[in-house]
Amino acid sequence: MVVEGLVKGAGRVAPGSAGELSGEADAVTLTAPSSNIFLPADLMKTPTACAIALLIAVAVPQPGIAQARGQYSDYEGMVRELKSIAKSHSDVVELESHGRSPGGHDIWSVTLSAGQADEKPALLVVGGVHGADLAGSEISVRFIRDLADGYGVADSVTQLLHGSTIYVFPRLNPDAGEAYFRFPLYERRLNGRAIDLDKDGYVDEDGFDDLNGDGFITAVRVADPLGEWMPDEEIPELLRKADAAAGQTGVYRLFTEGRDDDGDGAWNEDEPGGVDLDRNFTHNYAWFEAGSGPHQVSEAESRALADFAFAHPNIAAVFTFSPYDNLLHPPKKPGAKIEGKKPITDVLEQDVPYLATMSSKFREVTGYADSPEPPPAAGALSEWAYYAYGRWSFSVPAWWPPAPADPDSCAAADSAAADSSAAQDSTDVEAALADTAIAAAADTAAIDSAAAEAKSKSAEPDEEDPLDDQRRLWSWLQASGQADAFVPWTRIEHPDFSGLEVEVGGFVPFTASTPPADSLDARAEHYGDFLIHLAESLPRVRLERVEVEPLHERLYRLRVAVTNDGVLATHTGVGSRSQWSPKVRVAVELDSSQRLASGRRLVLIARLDGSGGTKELTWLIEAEMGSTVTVTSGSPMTGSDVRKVTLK
Amino acid sequence: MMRRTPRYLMLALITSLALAAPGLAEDREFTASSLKAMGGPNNPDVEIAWNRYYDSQEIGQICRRLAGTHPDLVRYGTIGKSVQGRDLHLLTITDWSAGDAAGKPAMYIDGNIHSNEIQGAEVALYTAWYVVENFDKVEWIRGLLERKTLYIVPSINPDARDYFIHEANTAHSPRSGMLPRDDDGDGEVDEDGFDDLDGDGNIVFMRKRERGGRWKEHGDDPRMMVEADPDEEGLYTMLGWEGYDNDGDGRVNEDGPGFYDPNRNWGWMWRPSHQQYGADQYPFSIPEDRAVADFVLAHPNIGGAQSYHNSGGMLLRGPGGKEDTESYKGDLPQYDFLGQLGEEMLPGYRYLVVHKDLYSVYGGELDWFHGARGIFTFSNELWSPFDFFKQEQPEEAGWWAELAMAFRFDRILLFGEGVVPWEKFDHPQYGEIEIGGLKKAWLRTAPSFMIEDMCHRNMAFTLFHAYHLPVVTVDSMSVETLSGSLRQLDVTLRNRRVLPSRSAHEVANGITPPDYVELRSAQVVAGFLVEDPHLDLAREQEHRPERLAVDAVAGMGAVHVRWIVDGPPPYEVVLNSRKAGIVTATIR
Repeated sequence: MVVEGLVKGAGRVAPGSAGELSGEADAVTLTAPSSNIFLPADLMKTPTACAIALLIAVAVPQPGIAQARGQYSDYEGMVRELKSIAKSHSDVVELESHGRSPGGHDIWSVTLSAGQADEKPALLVVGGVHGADLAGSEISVRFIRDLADGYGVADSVTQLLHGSTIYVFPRLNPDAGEAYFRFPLYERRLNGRAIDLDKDGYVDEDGFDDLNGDGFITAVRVADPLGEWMPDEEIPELLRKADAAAGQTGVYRLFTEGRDDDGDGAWNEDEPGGVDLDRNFTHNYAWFEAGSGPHQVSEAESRALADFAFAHPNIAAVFTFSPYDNLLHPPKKPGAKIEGKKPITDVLEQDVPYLATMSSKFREVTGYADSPEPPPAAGALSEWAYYAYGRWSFSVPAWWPPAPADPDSCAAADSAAADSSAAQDSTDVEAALADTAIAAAADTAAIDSAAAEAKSKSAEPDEEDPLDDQRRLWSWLQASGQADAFVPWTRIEHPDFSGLEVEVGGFVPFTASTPPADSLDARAEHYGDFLIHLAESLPRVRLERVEVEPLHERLYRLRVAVTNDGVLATHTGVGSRSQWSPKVRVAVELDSSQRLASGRRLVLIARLDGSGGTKELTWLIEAEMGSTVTVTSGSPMTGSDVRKVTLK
Repeated sequence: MMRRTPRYLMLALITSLALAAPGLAEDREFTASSLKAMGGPNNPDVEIAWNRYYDSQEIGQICRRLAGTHPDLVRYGTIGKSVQGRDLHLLTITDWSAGDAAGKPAMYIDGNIHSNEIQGAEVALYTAWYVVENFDKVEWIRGLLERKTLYIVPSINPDARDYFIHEANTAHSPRSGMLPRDDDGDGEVDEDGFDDLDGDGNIVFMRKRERGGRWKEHGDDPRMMVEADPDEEGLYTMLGWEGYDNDGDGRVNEDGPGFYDPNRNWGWMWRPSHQQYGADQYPFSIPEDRAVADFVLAHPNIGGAQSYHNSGGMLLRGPGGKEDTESYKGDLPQYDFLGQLGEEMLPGYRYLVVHKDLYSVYGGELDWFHGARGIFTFSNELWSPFDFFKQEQPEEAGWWAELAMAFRFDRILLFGEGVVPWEKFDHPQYGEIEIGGLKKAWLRTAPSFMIEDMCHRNMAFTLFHAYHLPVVTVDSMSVETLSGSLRQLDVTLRNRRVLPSRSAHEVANGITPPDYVELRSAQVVAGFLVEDPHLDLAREQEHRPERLAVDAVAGMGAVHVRWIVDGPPPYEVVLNSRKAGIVTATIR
């Protein structure tokens, strides 16, 4: 998809004073408070990933970190952008609020459609659900802008919006998103609800603390011969768990950056906020875990999304920006079978081939191939969309650090990205660590136990070294001249460990998930292309054949073939069993002089396969020669078709 | 002033009219009797007839009347609104002079989640009425309200309760609430419900007399239909409940009001509706259920709950699903104690486990209370086959024997009032048929003269449940002087009731904060949980020793804590427990 006039964040660069935000600019440039050096975004616009890999790292040997993070919109900026789009394209864009987050931000959706939106098959796109996912949110907004601008200009977009409806929730967790624009910087996942995360009777009493005053929440390591952590052999700045069975001994204890504010022997265990929306949905919901919420769909934001989804039964597929990637990591064959009332925990066998098809298409359209292994999901929106809502659900991170110096991935990146903007896209290296950076940089019992649990939950033994993602990030940072995105381990005095050797260091927050916004051009374009392809692949039902066979001058056999032209089947295996996925209705309308001798007036079809899946139906009708009957077929999810036939 | 007076009069008039609703007699003079029967109050402040079923407006009137008459014991409120905008009435009952409701261990009581299972609301209302009217008369009740709080929401499905009462229904419909849903997946909503063909206010069976039918009239009572023997020719085909094929899809009554099951919509062990029928869209997508959940989450003092259903005579506990057995394991002694007590109090009622004795079911209310909140919860299924003729029914007698008793009871005790006799009807789709059968207010609900008995016995069970919520006291405090200015303070807290301050499930999953035993006004040097006072085994709490975290005070059990303190008494000890309340003691 190439749409001229793409609007990039028209932001001004905010002054770099400590903790200050530019509230007036449409987009806000985040700058580190303690640094007077800024890396120009242009520095990252090097030709290709391979070229980058060959470059000698341009490290900035300064204490404190300089980060030019490009221009992301904070909540206010995003709303201004959405309102401006809706205003200038009111023919195809509708902006709607669905209530407020606990932090007081409206939960916005955008409907893009030419004509009656709720009668066409629809794609629901969700950005910014996985904590402060600014990149996913940014791409979602750009997608909205591109479609709005493209309507009436680019034929593909015009056709798309006539045949389909696109719903976008560009930032489902605005409370978390705002953390990107605040110091100290940390990768917030929680919304603004005040919850006693550690269940000690006090709320939000032990959050992170910026001990070295660099504006970033990184990690604390304490030299301790009884510690469980040791430097990684390959990259000694990184820490790994010592393997006692292999004769290794740890030398550090590892924590997230902060104090034990409430003196309970745990560090940063009750940060401000309450619920991670990407853990608040129903599938595989983790009860009683910090951040999962008091119960499923407990939050204003998650409920707004779910209510919207059920109120729009024309949604046939859901696309989510999240690490629970099933586009580059599709489910493996053969898939699961439904066994009585047993919970469905894996993608069903009838759906696996469709996910494989869309996965290949995603690779083909975007050229991306090297996303990190998805972490285990619990309560994720994308899984809810398939397992409970019963729709096609696709998910991929908005961005991740590319695997550096890997000839394969360079080839892939090259083929995908011929122009320079795509090349900075290969500077894309940060997403993988959205989850793992903190885990790497920090230890708390919670993180360890979560990781252990995750491992025990995954069906196949995870052979991958948990450090791989960090090594990959590290290498990429070195190669792409961003070595300063790793805060070097530096001695501090820690009030909880007085007299001990304590250092602060680790990856700058967001390094693994959120590249400079202005480096996202190529990604936004590729994802836009894929999303358009996805919308074009939605099920479309039509009457392929309507034939009348006279048996007698008063008795006619009506034969109808109902066909799905979409690439995707009309219903997923789950949806075909669900009352929430409207079935394909085939109705024969008779007048009072006509009578059905066989067949039902209304037939409901639970699933038609994709790419021509067909169901043939017959009726016997007693009627006068030359009289007519009307056959209608379809559903909100598939569009509909009507045919009037004369009996003769 | 002059102009205002008539308005006040008007208001007073309206109020008195409202209070004089059916069942609320005003004139006390005529209600007193010479000999007070044991049980109900002889001369109550609020007279309520316990021989009928009230609609949601009347329930609201009764609630407000109780609160207006006993403001020192009852406060009226709501926990939210139903789908159609009715209030979800809440009565908060405690002895306010002995402390606020929120600071006492609380019992939550509701009824009527299944809209046709109406009498739970009456049991809940009776409970409110009985305790406030007897507060001054029965010492046990006074003691209960001094230490405990009752939160009573008589109907958590008022829309469909009224629909059940005021519209033609079967004894089993609508069960759901009134949120419109497309039941048959045809894209239309609530388009083919029952039709009261003969307009008599009842939805009963349709039968067609025809050769080849497999049904016949019962030998003892021709109003009742039974299947013909395998080698016997029947005379009738049963055509289901009264109705038309309203939408012409070849099916009759397949999409009435609702449908979802409000008792499959709770978060614990919730499964989507393609796996658990009636689960609806997501946990607490039903506004009434959500209102209850929000209320319970906002009232962490709730340690016990009862949700009344009908019927079958059961004291049910979870788990609803076999997979969830582990969640109940540590709390079975307390459940068993109460369940067995209930069996004694409620002849014909059996203490049963949902998944084991009935069927596996997911997303039920009682499971959420226990599983998600660690609250000891029962659901009583009101009205038992035993109640017909006060005879235990053999297990193998089954449904048909029960039905036969309902017909027999109707003949000899209701004089035929409970059954619509078969009458002819010309049906546009089925041709000539007959309509007849049990009325909606018979079979699952007690007849007028047995309602009070049902209310009282079930209330008594639930009040004992409330009674056994924890009552923790500081049992002993002793100070021993150590070297220098150091002293050792030993404190024992004892629970005088059967239920623990936190259930085993709650402790195992860290659902709520621990109970904290705090030492104030003292220089704490170290704090200990004493695991075995006889062997003097103590475990130090290194962090924040002044505030010791205790898992729970076990039912009828004790907790021993110890501090080493620098300096002399007085010492003030405070137990802060969500479910056992706040207890303070000082040693001087």
